Amino acid sequence: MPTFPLLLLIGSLLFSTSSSAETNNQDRLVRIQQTSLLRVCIWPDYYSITYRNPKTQTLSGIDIEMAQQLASDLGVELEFVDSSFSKLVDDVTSDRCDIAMFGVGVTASRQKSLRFSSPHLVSDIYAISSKTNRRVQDWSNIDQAGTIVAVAKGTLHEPVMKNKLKQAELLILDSPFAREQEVQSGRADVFMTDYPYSQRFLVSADWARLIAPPSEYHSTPYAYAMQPGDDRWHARVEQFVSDVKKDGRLLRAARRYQLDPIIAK
Amino acid sequence: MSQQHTRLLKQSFVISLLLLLGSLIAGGGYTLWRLHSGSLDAAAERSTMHARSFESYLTQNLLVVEMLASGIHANHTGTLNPLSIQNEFISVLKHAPFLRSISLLDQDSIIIASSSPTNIGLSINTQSHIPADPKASGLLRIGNPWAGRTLSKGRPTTPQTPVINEFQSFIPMSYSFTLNEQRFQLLATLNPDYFINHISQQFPVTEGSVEILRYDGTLLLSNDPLQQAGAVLEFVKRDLKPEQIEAGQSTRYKRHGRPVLTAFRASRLYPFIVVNHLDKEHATTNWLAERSTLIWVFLLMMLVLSFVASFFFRYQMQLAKKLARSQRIEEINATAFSTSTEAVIITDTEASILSTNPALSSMTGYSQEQLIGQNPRIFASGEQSPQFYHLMWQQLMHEGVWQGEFTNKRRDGSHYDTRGTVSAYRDEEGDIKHFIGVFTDITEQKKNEAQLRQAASVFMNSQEGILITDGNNCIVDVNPAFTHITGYSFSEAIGKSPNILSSDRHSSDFFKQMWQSLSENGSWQGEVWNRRRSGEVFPERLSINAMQGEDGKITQYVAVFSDISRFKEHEAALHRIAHFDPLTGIPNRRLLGERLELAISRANRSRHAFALCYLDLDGFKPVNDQHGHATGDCLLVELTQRLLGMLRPDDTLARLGGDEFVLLLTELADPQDIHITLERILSSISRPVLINDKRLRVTASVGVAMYSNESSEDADSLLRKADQAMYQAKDRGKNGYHLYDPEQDRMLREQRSQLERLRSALQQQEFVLYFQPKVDLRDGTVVGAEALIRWQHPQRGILPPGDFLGIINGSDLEVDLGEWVIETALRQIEHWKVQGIDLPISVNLSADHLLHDTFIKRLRCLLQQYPQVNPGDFELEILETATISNMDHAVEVLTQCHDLGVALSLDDFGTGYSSLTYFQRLPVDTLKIDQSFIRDMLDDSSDLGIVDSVVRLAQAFDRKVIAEGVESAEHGAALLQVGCFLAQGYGIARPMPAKKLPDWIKQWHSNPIPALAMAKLSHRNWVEQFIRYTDTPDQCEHPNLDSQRSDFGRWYYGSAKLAYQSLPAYQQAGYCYQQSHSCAQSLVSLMKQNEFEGAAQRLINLQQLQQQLFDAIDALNRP
Repeated sequence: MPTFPLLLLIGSLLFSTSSSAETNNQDRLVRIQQTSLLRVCIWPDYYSITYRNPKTQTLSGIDIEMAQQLASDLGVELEFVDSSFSKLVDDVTSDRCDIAMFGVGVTASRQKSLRFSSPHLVSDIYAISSKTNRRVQDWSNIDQAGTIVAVAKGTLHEPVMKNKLKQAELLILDSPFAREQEVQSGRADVFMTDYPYSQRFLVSADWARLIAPPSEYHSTPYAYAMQPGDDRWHARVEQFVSDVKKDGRLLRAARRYQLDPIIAK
Repeated sequence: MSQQHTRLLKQSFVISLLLLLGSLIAGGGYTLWRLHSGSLDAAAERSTMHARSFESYLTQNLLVVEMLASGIHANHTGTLNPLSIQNEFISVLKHAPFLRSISLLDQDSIIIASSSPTNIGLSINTQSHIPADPKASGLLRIGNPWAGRTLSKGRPTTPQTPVINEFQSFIPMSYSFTLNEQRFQLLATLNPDYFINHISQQFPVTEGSVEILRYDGTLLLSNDPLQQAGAVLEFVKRDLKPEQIEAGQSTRYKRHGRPVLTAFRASRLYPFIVVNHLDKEHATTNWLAERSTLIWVFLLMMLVLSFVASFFFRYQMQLAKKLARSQRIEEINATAFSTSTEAVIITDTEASILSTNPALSSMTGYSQEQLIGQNPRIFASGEQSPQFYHLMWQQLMHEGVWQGEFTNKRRDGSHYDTRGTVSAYRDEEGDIKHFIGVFTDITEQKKNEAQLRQAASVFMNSQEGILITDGNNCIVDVNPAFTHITGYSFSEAIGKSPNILSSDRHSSDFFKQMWQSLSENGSWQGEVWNRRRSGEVFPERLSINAMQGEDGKITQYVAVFSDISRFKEHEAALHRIAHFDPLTGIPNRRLLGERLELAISRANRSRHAFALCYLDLDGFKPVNDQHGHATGDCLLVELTQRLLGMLRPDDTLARLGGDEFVLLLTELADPQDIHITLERILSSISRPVLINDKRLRVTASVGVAMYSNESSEDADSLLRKADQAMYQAKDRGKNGYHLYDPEQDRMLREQRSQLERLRSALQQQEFVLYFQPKVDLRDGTVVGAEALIRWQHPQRGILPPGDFLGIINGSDLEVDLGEWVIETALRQIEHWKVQGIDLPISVNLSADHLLHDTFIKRLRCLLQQYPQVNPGDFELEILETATISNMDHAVEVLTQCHDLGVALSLDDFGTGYSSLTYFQRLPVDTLKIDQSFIRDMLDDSSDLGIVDSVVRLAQAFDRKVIAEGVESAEHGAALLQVGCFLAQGYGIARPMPAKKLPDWIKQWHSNPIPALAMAKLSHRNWVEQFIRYTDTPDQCEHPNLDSQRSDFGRWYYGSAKLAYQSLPAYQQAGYCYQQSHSCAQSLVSLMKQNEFEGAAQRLINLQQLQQQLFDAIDALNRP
């Protein structure tokens, strides 16, 4: 949810100092192996990444599988810790989990409080419109006079679109659903989102239509976030990312969730 | 199964199949139609269902709007707080995406609160919203659509200005309520896209279009992007009458030119109507898909059905055919059974006959009825032993089949041979049910086999070689004799051509002729020279027969031959004996004949002449006589070798026998060359031959007959001509040759025919003897008569000997005729003697007759036949020419004649050469002076000298002498003067028949002086000549008119003048004689002037004068 990263950012700014001080001196990898437990933060509403089916309560998504692979590689038990973008920095820095694995976009602001692994996914920005919308048929129609573009406040899309749009009117909305509501009711023409979200949205909203940029518009790498500092742990995670890319585990998992187009090289 | 039946079955099948397929097509068509109609019904149903669904959805949402409005109305019972209302509006909108905005209008229709703050202050006219709200409360009313996103930036549409270019539109809806006695309106703008999305999900635009219209026909929204919201569609008010009819269907409309199924439904609460246009074509899309599927299925079914039916039909047809075939086979079997030439007999297990076929009846003579129920034992002839039948049954029971041969008995008792098979017929359990016997009558076959064995035996044992070739002349069989004769074994000969035996002695024409005969007559016989394996060539007698197949084509040639070498050798020996002279080895007369025929035919072809030379050795007989036959044979062989050495290869030398040879000189380019050849031949033969130290020499006489193709003569005549010419050569003096002269030949042939004629004349007694008296001139005494032969020719009268004696000279007839003359003369002497006339008779004897072997014997015999005849009265006159050939022999014969007492005289003395030596030795009594000397002696002194010499010679040798040819008294006088007293001749008497002679003698004696008589005779002859002249002046000259030089004149002016000159009668006679000549001259001149009457008168005068003359001469005798 584009809203949460903003909140998380705020939260992380508030709690980063105390959390990092508390955990910096510990060797997390040793601890994980000593306790034989790996704690992974996830956002259970992130379809295709870390999603918990409300009807069966089972977890699925590419990062759920990656977490299992990591635990398996380490030879330890795995424990998922519910989190969100709004709580991300706090949860990681306060050692609620050893690592956040739910497609965390690598932004400059997050890098200030978190240490990222190498990206495993890269997503561009996508637009969602109503099927009946006659004004916006393709990407080029977006930045036109009379067009209203909706973004969620606090997401990485807000500053990007602010910067990119010249003719269209940018509508910044508070609530996560507001932008969808605006578009469905015809008050806005499109809203902007990322690849995994758009995929999930198109499946659930039968009125919606995806408008993809004809070429790269603004790509954002997604990676795993850890506390800054612990090099051994970071190196081990880097090793893992490198391993799953090499041995095809990442690609196979991505294919299961139709995310193979955005695998990071 | 007949073709017609088959055709009928096929037709039935095709018709049935077509009917079935037709039914299938009809069923399929009906199904399609039903499906089509069903699919249209379903589409209409779906259209209706959609209409209800959309109506319900929209109504529900409008109901939400109405409840919202009524909620606001209920919540805000006190004073209206625009800000709280606005927040309430925003929170409502969060859950109502079908609404774009909610606003609150005051009683002046000014927006006082709105979800979209930009709308505040706008004045909105809601009067045109329907339904009308006269009470202004509790009604949701629907306004005309607006173009644009928001009230602030949009515009209301009118039917004339519908939404055209705008991307968005909305539908305002108002709800009036009164609060605190103030009238407010809630204005909600409906988001059409929300509904269009909803509709599109249920009902894609491709399937049809959905229109939502107000009752007044204003289009509120449509999923069809071409439809313009705000426009008024007239058909709603006109046709649908939504005020009255809630729902319905129609098929009368079109959208974008396409027929549609229209369903409409009016909202149960609000004044709008949902019209659903379902594209008819789209509605039947499934049906179309189904249709093509169905059609394919049906086609497949039809195909399968056709295939199955055809298969079934074919199967049925095959079954029917099988049935028909088996029926036919049964019929055929039945026919075969009844028409089979093999006898069939079927019995039960007890061997009781159940069935037979006609062939058995014809074989055995029993009828079928007679045989049924019988045991086949009735055929037993008794020639098979019981053991035979026992074995047969044993085999039959064990093996189920028996094969063999019987000798059986017919009904008439005669036996026949049969071969057959008896089989046991078993049923499915294997039990024997029947016995079936099939038999063939092999009586003929047995006979044929016996004949074949005989033929094979003949073939194998024949002494004659037998060779059999196939039609291609390739040897297929030979017999042992073939091997024996030719030396080729069976295996060497088989497969070869008979050419292996070819000797190359025969020309291709020979074989051509052989094959022609074979193809025309089917056979050829002849002799052939063949070659044995050893290379030896041998003759064989060969007979070839062409064997024809049934189609008339030659299948085989059978050649039978025998070695005839020995026969040939024998034949050659016979041929040699038959055709060659055993002494000299050259061809004999027979082979010569063949060669001659050959030469003739060759000459006819080549037009070259050839010469046939008949060669006879001169003087060969003496060689034989003197030196013996062995020497003679050696001589012949030597001469033969000489002749052979001179001949060309094509020429033939043949020996006819003795010393006679024939040379056949062929291919003479120039017939003149023959002379050279003949000269060489003669010269070669005349060269001496030395045999046994004896030097022998012979010559040859050759007669040559030339043959050219113009002659067209046969061999015999040619040989005869050569023979004849050879005799000519002999006659010409031997050691010479003579070419056959056709003229001479003609004469000879004439001579021969005359000879034959004379021979027959002799038999027919056509010859007579005339007699010419001989007188003594001194006293007129008749001293004898010469018998002269005359031919009393039936047509030609009396012919003198000069006409025929030349012909018989040298022939047998000469002897016969000579003997006849002798006998006749003897008989005449005897006859006259009886009459008292004693007159010696002389006959002429040819030299050949004289020298004939039997002459003396015959003469003696004849003289004995006439004993009364004194041999001295019979005289033989020998011609001088006859003495030439063998004088010694002549002397001997004449001596014997003389001894018999027969008088001999030499006739024609003086004419030929005669050796005085011989003359001296000849025991002749008389010399007869040839009349040629006598005739001319009065004029020719040399003749008179000869006569004188002869008389003197006779006197010297004491021989009598007689002159012949005395024609006048003057001749007589001359003879008397030289001392020849005996004379004969016309001057005395012509020869006369025997019966006239006595009268002549009487008359002759009346003239004492022969001279006077001869004078009168001369004159009479002269007168008679005039008589003949007068009769036939053309044929004869007039007689002598010179009175001095006539016979009478010579006498009158000669010896008569001396004797009677003084007598007056002499003068008288002279006068009459002169008168006669004058008269004769006158007569001749008259004749020349054709004064025949005068001449006749002169002749009478002449005869009168003759009488006067004769009177005067008689007077001379009477002095």
